[in-house]
Amino acid sequence: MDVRAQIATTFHLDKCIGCHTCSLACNNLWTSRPGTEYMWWNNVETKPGTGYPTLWEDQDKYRGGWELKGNSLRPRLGGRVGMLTNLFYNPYLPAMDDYYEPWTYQYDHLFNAPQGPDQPTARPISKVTGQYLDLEAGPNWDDDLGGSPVYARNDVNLAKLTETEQQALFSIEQKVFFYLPRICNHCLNPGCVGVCPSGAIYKRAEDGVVLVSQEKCRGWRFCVSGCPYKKPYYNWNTGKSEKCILCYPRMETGQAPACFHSCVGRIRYIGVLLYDADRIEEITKVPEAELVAAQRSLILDPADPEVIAAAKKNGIDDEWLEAARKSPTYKFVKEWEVALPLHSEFRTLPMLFYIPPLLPVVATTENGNYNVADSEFFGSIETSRIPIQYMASLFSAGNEEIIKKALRILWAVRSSQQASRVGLIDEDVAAAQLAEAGITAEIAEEISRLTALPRVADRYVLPPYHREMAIEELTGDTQQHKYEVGFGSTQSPRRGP
Amino acid sequence: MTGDKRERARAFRPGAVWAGLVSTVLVLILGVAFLGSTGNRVSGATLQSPVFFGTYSQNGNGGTIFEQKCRACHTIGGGRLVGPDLDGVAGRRDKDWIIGFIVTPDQVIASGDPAATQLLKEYGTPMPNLGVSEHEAEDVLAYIKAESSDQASPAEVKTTKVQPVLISEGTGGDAARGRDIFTGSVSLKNGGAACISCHNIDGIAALGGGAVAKNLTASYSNLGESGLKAILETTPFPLMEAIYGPRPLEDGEVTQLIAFFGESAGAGQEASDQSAIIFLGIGIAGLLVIVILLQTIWRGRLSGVRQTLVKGGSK
Repeated sequence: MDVRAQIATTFHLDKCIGCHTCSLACNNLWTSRPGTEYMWWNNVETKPGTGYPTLWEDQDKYRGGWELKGNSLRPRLGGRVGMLTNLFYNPYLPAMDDYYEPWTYQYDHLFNAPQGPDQPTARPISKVTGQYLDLEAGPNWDDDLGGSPVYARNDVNLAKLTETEQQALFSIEQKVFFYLPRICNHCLNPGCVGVCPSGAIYKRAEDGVVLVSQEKCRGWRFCVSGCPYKKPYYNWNTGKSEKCILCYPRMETGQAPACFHSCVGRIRYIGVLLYDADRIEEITKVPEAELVAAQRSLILDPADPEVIAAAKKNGIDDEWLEAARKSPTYKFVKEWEVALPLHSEFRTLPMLFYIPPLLPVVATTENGNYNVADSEFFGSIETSRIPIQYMASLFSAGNEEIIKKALRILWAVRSSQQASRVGLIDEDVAAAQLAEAGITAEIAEEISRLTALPRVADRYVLPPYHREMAIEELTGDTQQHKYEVGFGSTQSPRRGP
Repeated sequence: MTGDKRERARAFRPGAVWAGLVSTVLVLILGVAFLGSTGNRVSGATLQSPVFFGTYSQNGNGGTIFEQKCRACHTIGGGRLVGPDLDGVAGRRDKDWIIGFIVTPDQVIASGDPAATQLLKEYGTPMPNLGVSEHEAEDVLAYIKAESSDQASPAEVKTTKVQPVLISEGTGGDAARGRDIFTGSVSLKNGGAACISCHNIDGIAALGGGAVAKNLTASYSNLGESGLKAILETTPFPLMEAIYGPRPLEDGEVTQLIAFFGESAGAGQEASDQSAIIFLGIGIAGLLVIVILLQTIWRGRLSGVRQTLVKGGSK
């Protein structure tokens, strides 16, 4: 057993209101430099929709992630020879139009326009060409089902639905959508690391954050293709690739990443997971339907004495183990099994988990009145507005049982809370639902508390990084560097303007 | 956290080292192959003329240099060939002008010098730059002075042109064989590079010959047989000297080449038009082949995901 620690995250989709505050916090902090105009390390997508970049989930087009060939796992992008021959021309890169042409507005015209009969307007200007631009694409072009005949209708997750089901989904009374915020998954088997020709991408040993070395990167852009989630971006200004760094400078100082910190709906949870690195290869090769369960089995119980001993042997200290025991991600993913990885069929073992949304109450309208009485108040998961197949395509590699189980638990929690606090639902019905979901009332209470009433310390359980000790390990005797500036780094830091 | 983990994360990558080694070796092999191929072309000779450079101090060199570099086009008292008869030239022209013209004829002509312009008009062929140094030019001039008939006056200069002797069946020149020598189908006996490496003759091949040196289509009518013979035997121009100095043409080869030049002198223009069309045809065909090949190799490439969606509209 090779126990390692991973800072893993959970997003509760029922709580996301799609305000994009996370995207802006991230953008303000990291991607407001020349060359990063089009980058959204964090973005929020509307589902059904095609996301950003357009149709990123369609790996027949972008060739991201891994595929199982016989008993070996290979990048979808091709073998070594194939990639070498395409080194100078990677044919599967998204083009600028598949992202969007970044723009700003001609604000000075508002002040300098000559007098005329009309109000001056600030026309959009391309940040690439500096010319006026007719906007026809943006990072959230299909937000809230905008342009859904083009975008939502082409969502690849709808493929398994019948034509009738699709028609029903897009009929005006049945229209439904939810939000899917996305950051880098900091996978255990990252596609970007697997295809990088320069060996510039690495997974940090202490917390599993996947980073692109800006010194080693040679700008081949294979990570852009190799990542099935399209989260590495190419910076045209520096000629290097960049990606979400999970705000590690913030985490090292005890703060949650910016997108977590700024989340209005408080949907984001972050904590430590312990996993067995020896089993990664084996887990990535299981059949698609078993992927989610296999990935769960990779996560180790931080209270198990055997795991603790193995973790300590690997240098994981007590404070990290303590954080792992309190980790909200561990509870949602492993204990309660309600949080699921996004598109586990890409076989990268993503370490960002989503709690699927229950979506609104199903009701009928009669004579303009909203009528919930003729159905059970919350309906049932089978009558959910978004078909189970769709959710399964997103979160469980097509395995509907896993989705049903998670939804049943969430349903039972909601019903039991309604029964005990509001009384809209009969206690017996709630108890039956709890039994069907296979959880006790105590667990339902616990899930409810962590979902609806969590404090900051419950949501963000970050262990101390002990950078001061890491420095001792790197440099040996700290006395050696007394009276020196810094800690013996190889180049002097660049100061801002 | 632990030191050993961090080291593992930054581990030395043998793969990268191997990739570096392999690419270095490839580059070296390609480099050597490239150098080797160019070396063959120029026969390994350095572009210098070791025979003359640095050995100019003796007046006696004048004769040798004249034989090597001037005899092909000029006589002293033998009548005009390609260029004028030099008998008594020292009396007709200013000494500095003669030296300047021998050393850098191209510059003198380009400067619009009236005498040089007049000569060019009269003889039609500009004198090439022969890489003669100023000291050598003085030696040559001294030699010409010595060889000139004593009291040559401008009026007595022989201006009768020595007519080019046309090749007859009897001279032993085989034009077809000459063509083979020119194109390199038949190697030169002493290992010199084929003429086509640097020279072109209209209609010689679809893509023409080299563009380094003069087009030789009109060489026969311009220089005549004796002029060509002298040039081919003495190879007076610096580049030719470097190539053929150590590997001279044999007499038989010279005769055959002259026969070939004589034959191609007439047929020039028509062939030239044809080869231009063929060249264009090959260019277009080549372009098509490359485009089709690239399209086939990368037929599965990604093109405009979003645009395709928008144009396709709803399903």
